[in-house]
Amino acid sequence: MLSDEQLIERIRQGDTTAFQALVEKYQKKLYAVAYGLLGNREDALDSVQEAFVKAYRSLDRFKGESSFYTWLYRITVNAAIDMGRKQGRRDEVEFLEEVEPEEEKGEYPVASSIENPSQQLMRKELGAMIEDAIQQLPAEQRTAIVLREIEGLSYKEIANLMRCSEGTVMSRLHYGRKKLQEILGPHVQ
Amino acid sequence: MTIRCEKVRELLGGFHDNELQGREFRTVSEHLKVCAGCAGELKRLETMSRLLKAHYEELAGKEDLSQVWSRVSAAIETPGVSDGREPLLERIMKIFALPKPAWAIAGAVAVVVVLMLASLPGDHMSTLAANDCIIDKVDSENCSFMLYEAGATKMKIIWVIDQGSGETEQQTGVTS
Ligand SMILES: [Zn+2]
Repeated sequence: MLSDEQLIERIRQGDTTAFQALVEKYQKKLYAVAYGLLGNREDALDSVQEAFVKAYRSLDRFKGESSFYTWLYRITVNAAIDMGRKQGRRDEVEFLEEVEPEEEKGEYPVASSIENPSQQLMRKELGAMIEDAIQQLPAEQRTAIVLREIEGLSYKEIANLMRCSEGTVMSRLHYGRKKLQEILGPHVQ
Repeated sequence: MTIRCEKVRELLGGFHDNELQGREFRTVSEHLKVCAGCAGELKRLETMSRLLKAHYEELAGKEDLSQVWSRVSAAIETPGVSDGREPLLERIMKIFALPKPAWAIAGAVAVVVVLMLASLPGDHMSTLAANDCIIDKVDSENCSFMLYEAGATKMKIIWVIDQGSGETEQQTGVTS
């Protein structure tokens, strides 16, 4: 398994399969983050695509000062924020329609075999509530929460990405979590 | 809830995230041994983190992400601006063809284009003055276009920023 640096070196020499390897390595993480920031799959997919294309085209400017994935996160977060700004926040009705879970795919039978129908329903409802709650947060709190909770980035990495101090990260997380607990209330006991 | 509890609650997120050190870490961990309320709060933080992570991981796991590479490879194989560059005027005309209300307004005040073309080094935003106003910004496949009005002169200026090369071109126009 090649390291990111080795893959980048190959891409610079014109090897696109090396870029494909990088895309496949990070797409799932970036998609989860983009979905968290944007709240729907189409925008999340668009921003992930845009981020990879931007990364590819500006690879010459990647100096290796930060790790490749931190750099990629920054591009993705920027692409997602940009997209959110461009398209405006979606209204509630449209949003709820879009988060309708897709059952028929069946490739990832997540716990469905051991859940009874009412448990399944509860889990789906909880998922929709979580997404709704995240989308209600102010953008800065949402970004900090998504990077921390979904991606598990350190405060230092988040501060670096959001260009703020670690203390600011801590306070954005604090207020974001407080608000999430208010909204999700009894489900988080 | 005591004053000590209030202080601990502020630090609890950092404790949960493993980001506390030294005295702060000791303050919280000692307090958690004796305060059921704060210990319960920590449990709630942990539950929420678990729920959030599980939900978004499940979402990403369900999505067919093989389309990402097919979309990305299609996009990077089409020649970027840096290699088959279109004449600037055509690119500007394309902007105004976009169904964006703000651009339509800009079109209505008849921006006369192609007066000056200057390559500027460095950060394209650095020349924006405080009373300048960005009228709109459009990102196309390879470029960002930004239309703004210089506060002092009311001159409308179009920026064309290549995503790939980071090059910036300035297009200055005057309103009629
Ligand atoms: Zn306490």
